[in-house]
Amino acid sequence: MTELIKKLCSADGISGREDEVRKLILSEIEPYARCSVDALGNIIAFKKGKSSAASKVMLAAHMDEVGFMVNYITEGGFIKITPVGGIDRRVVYGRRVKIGKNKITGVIGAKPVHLLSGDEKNKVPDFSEMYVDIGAESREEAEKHVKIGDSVYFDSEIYPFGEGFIKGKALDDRAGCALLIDMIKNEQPYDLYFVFTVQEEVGTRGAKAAAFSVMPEKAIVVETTTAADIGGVDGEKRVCELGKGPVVSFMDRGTVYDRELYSLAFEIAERENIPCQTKTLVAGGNDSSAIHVSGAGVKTVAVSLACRYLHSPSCVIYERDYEYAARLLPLLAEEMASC
Amino acid sequence: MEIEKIVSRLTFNGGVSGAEREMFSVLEELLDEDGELSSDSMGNFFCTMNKGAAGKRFFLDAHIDKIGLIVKYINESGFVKCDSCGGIDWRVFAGEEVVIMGREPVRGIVCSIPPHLSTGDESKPLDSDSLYIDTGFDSETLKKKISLGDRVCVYKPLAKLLSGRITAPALDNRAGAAAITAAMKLLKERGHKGEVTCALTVQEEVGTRGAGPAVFGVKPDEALVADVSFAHSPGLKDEDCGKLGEGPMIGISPTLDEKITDTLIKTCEEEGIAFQREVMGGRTGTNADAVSVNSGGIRTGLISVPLRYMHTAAETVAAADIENTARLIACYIEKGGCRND
Repeated sequence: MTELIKKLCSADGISGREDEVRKLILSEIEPYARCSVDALGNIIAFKKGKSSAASKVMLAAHMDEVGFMVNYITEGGFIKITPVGGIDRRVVYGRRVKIGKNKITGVIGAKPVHLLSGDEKNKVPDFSEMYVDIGAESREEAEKHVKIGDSVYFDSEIYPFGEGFIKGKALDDRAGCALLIDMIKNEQPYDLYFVFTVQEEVGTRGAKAAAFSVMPEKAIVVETTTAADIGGVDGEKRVCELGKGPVVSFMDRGTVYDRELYSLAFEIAERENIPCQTKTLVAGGNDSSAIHVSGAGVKTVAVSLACRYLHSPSCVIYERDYEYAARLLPLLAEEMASC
Repeated sequence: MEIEKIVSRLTFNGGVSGAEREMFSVLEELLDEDGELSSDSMGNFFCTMNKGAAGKRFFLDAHIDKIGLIVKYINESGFVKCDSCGGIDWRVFAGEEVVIMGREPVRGIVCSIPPHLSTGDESKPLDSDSLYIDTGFDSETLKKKISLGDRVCVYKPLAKLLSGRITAPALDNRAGAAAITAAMKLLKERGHKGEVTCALTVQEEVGTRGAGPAVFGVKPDEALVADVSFAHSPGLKDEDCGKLGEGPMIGISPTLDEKITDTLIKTCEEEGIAFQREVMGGRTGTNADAVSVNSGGIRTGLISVPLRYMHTAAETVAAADIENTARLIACYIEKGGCRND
């Protein structure tokens, strides 16, 4: 596991609160690219290549992660939270979280199973019924440590997992950010634009503004995408599989991808002997939904890492997939910029 | 030793029901200086001070086992299926980090389906059929590391919350175990002369199976059981619960010795130890039920540490409640135990 991915995933940044991540990325790329930060907090980086590009190409990865915000503190000092981004409440109940800039530890409490009625035993409560216990004995005490509007993060370590995997929170899409940072640090044949976007998880909002500023002709969205290659799931419902290389989608819930670029990605992968796969289910969406309809339209392709347990405290990617994507992306960008 | 240190040592990995021997090295280390160590055929662990000394012989019980999962199948891709071991809460498992206590500990993640693929039944908990653990190893490699029957625990080290509260999986009943361990240390420190056996017993969570054989081997004059009980949290009825941080909960029940109960309360009052009364109309659902009817009947009292979110990885206690439970037990014994007046 690279130090860069570890640092990126250890940073906390729910949608609209990407400051920690942005600071970290800027410190990594500023020596290698001309950077600016727009009004929403998107990083727009221009990387000078060996020659100027025939087409203006933009690569995008989002900085934000899913999490929660504090929306109420009860009289008893319990913290009520509202999800930021799409989270299945089953991965939240009973978990440990961190709140605010001071990273106050809390647990999402659950009624003891012994005191549940039959119906309750078989139902994970709604978010509105969940709360965080930080140990405060009153609202007054809680308010000394936590404010309404504070960010709430999954408390989850990142570490190498099993044989060749990485487990951590926020790999969606810090893994994509890491791929872009690697590209920026290396020499590129053509001029390229890189954007690190905000607010993807609440409706691909940052990418819309970033695409307007850059006005690219072509774009590559670098993401993680949902892999369900797990026990109990068969056939097309597995969507994509870890270890089979980067995922290039033909369509998802937000975008019908440019057919030529889709084919180009697979041609390059075949030529270079890089494993590459597509998604077998039209599901999810990413920044391309905003980018491909920006300006007068942008030819867009998405290259993603297959990721298990997306939007949970424990996302899992395969390290070698990262390496495959790191080989494919510069070649794809080069071809796209060359004509 | 600070109570948090004892709890921290006791709460980390291992000791799901039937696999309590995984805890022996920690128990040996914690209790080595406090008495004679031994264990029985079931895996109950004992520390006895002043064995054979004249006077009343006391027996302290806390179950050392915890709830967890037990491996029942490894599929062709290396995903692990499990059954419950003890009364687990299936609602809190999706996405949880676990460790399989195999030939070597193997970390795993309980599989969850991302919201992008949700079919709209997000309120439905996992069950033994739908729960899979991902370890990141293929089937062949994994089978060299783990076997069917291995236990699985939630992987989460102890963390401190505000107001001296601590959270860790397995505080049920490592909080009780910490209390009797600390009580032994207090008695030792204060030069107690009588015989006291501290028993860390097995298999409570699968039906209070270990405590009976444990107390049978000792046949004490009096027994005190230390466990955890419900502390109030949002959504629960006041009358069903004690309160976190307001002291040990002294059990009052027709199945518990009335004089011991009264003496425990009196001891709290004399020593200025905050306490709460916990009334149960019949059986207590703790080892006290098994201990009291063992060996022709043993006078038994019950003291519980209030705990929130029982049987989840979010279990939370106030460290002071454990400390006060230990103090109460030590003072009770020092004062000669049950007073019949």
